[in-house]
Amino acid sequence: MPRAISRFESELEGFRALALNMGEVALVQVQKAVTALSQADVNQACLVQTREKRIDQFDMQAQERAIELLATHQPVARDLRFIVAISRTITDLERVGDEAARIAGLVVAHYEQDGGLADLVLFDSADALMGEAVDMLARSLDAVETDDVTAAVAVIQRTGRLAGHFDAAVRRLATYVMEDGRNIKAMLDALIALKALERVGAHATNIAENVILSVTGKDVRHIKADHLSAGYLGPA
Amino acid sequence: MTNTLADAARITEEAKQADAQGDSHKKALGEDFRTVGRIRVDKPRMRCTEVNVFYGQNHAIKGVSLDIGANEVIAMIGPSGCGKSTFLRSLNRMNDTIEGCRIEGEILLDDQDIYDKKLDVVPLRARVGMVFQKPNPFPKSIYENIAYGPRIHGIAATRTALDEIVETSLRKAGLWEEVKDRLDKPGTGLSGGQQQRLCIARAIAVAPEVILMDEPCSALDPIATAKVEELIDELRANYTIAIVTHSMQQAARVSQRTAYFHLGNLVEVGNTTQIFTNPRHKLTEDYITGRFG
Repeated sequence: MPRAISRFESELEGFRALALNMGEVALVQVQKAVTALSQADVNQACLVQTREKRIDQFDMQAQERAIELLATHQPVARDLRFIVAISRTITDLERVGDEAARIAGLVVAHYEQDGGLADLVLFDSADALMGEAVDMLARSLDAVETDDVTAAVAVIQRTGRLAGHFDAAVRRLATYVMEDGRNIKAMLDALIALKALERVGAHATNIAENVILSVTGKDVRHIKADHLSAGYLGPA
Repeated sequence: MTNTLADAARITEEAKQADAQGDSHKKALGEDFRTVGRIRVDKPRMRCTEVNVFYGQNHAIKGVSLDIGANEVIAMIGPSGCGKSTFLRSLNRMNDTIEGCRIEGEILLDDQDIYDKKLDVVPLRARVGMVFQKPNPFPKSIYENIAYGPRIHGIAATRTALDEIVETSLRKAGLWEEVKDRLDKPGTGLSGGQQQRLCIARAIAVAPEVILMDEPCSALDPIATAKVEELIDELRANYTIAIVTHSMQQAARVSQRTAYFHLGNLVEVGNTTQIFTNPRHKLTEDYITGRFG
């Protein structure tokens, strides 16, 4: 096929690098938002809100790049899957950025207005969920960088644990409300923040699924995590 | 040198060049190579079994088995010298005209062996029509280009019947509105795209079951190509079409199944969407993504 293939390959790698840079910024955003939440750090939360624009810029740039690659190279097979997978990943990362900004917004609204450090107790039991979501995102980005299907499967298989942490955190919030009904507003804010963290983990799962699509051509979005085995993902 | 000898020499040369660059690919194919994908379909119009084609000493097609389903468009792709055109030409015995060409195996058209010695190739080529790379209208009027085939095959008994066939064929080829007022003008005076559609109309006029197309758009501009591709899609309702193309996008656009040939082997065959999104053989993937060689 008459195509400057090495140039095309370097353009594909450039597209991956763009997604990874965006991923790094999104990951830092989530980490900072989580820190702001756990330490009631309003300044940090404000910074997260400001940096949200950077993620949106990455999103615009990357989606434009995807269209250029499709229009100019008309890729097929693994090249096409790669571009589709990275485009989907970009969308997920943009949403991750939104979730970080959502958490930051809650921190700003809750602590700036009330100044109630006492409410920290609402979050201190959510460490496991925070840690799980952030680490899933980091591992999914590693899988994108190295096209590592095994690492991607490992991320997907953490979905159940993530859900478990979320349920446990919600149960604890419910206990606080039952103990003192005046906590209801803080509890609702905390619930939104916890849900945002759970969504970060879900986006990490999506990113891992994109890696599998890109490398193997298999769409595993609707396959249960425990059904993902080497046999299933092996050659068709 | 006659045309047929020139054809044989060109095909042999292309195959030699492909062989020369193909050592690593031979390894990829392996000694016990078998076609990847489903070669058989439920309702085959043509069924090829263990087809081998030789040009003298050159083994151009190596044990290819493939069904061509009724009312499907099957695209045959592969690098130059891979045997796709040779295979296509075997389907209506066009290779008979090439000196030193020998064919083994079985090719059935509706359960009839097309290489049966008793079979007359003239009606066979009416049943399995062919459209070539370069439009080749007869140096006759537009009307006569279409009418010639039905007349020699005795398909039309009267002038009215012939007129009807001419109009119907030109309509099916999407050319009627453009030429209805100048049917007596030479076919060679049409644009390249119109000439190619005239050739398709000419093939249709003898009521074929299968139409073979050997790179039918390679000499056409994008607009004429789009018209021919649209026509191929419409023709599928009534005919079976096998098309050889070097354009991956064209294969992806017009066909339902795609067959990838390499060094005379049928490497992979499958649903076109699967071939272009997730090919199973590495050689297929390397070729369609442009990493071949």
